[in-house]
Amino acid sequence: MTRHKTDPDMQNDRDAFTAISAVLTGYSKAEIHATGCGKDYWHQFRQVTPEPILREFLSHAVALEKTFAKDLEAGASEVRRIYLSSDRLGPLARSLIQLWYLGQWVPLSQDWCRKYGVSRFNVSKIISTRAYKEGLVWDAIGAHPVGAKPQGYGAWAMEPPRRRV
Amino acid sequence: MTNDKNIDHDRAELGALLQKALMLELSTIPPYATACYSIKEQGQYDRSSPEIVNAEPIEVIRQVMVEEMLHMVLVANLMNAINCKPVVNDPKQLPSYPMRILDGKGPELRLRRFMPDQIKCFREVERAPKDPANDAHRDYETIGGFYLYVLGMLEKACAAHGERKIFIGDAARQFNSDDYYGAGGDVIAVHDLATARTAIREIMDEGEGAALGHSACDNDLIPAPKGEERWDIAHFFKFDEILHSRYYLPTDRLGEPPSGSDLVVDWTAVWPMKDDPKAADYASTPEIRELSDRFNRSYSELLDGLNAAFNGDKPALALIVPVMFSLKDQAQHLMRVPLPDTGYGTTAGPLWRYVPTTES
Repeated sequence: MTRHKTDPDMQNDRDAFTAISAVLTGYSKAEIHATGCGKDYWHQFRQVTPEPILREFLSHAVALEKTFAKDLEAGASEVRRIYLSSDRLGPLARSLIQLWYLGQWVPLSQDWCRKYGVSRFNVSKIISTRAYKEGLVWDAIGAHPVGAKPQGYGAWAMEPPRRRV
Repeated sequence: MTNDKNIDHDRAELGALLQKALMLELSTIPPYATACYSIKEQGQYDRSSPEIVNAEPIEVIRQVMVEEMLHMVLVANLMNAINCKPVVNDPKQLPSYPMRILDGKGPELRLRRFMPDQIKCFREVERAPKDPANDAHRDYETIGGFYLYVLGMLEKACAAHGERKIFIGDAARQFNSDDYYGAGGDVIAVHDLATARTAIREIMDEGEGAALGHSACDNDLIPAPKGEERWDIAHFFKFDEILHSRYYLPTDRLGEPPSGSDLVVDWTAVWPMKDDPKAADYASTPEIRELSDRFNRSYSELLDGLNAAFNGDKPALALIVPVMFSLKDQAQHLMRVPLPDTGYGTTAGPLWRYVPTTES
């Protein structure tokens, strides 16, 4: 796990992680990058995921991206088949989605850990102050993170921004 | 005394000059904002713990930006006072970067991340006129010199036609301190030559300060906890402070280095935004283009709102405040997205292009 930063595989893993994050959250890869949290989340994700399962989790990235580019419905059903309905990958995918939306790692269950491996990093925590501010949830609900990114005096009297989707 | 044709001509000429001033003030904001937002924010500026990395340069540039926005409002007041129409959303007049200000005679403005060369450029933009007498005769190479020329023209027009025939604008269009908060200076409502002079002086004081008393301060008090008030520093010296990593004292004299306390600058804690980003840089990546287009739409919304506010719809100013904050957020988002074309070595950045908005 102590591979060098410039290791080409490492770069590919990170790209795969970004691609899967985009697919799972419904945001674009650019929007995933735009949070500025990718590096920290990738670090957290690797720390809690046993190596063979990490490999499996990332292995679907390229194919999944292609499917999504062609057909949104087909992509969504692939996500359900590969990740969400899987006993192994499902809980990981759900924790990852919550990580991107809330900036918080939601621990994998004890059952899951007993079966697939325990990590001492599998604890509930807000990853960073930026993670809180950049949670996708704020954009998704058309709000701003409470206590951060102020909107200016009187903004509370105005309509929230229109949903983009 | 004089015929109407002459006064119309003079008014149009003054209006054109002030319109240029308005665009000049506006053109500084995107480069300043881009540099400011490219800094990886480490924390809120807090005077009790100023060692937080780069909180201080962020605050220094922010203060300058806020004052440039105030200058736009002051120029709009000047224009409305003499019954000329300020325009801030005409694509033909809006700045496009890189550009040399003052019809190509002034320093160059570019869209670049926070780096010493860029701050040196900003310092150049805010440099005081060397020879004010010369500048008054249209040979200006600095913003201050340009304003001296504008003031000269205004005085001439008043002498020729009488103040009361020049200042015929609708007083209801004037912005004052009630319409504007966090201004970084006084909002001066303009209705005669004296108030016009005060407004222009304030713009010049905040920009280069020095020409008027050979000190670094700009005659404003910086808001601060009670008993801790200190004099604000003119823009030229604020950028100089960043380059020296040291604050000026208001008593510091012109030509001497700053002698105040440390200002902590980390030039490396910055997103590697591509220099002078162009729309073409995002042509091959629709996802980045989408973020960029979204930014441009917000920027256009800001300019449209500003235009409405300057032309009779004063409440529009309050409505664009959230847009302003969202521009910061969106710019920071863009600057975190790596550009595949550059081997992921640099990131995207805001283009600050106006796109006419379609009414919904």
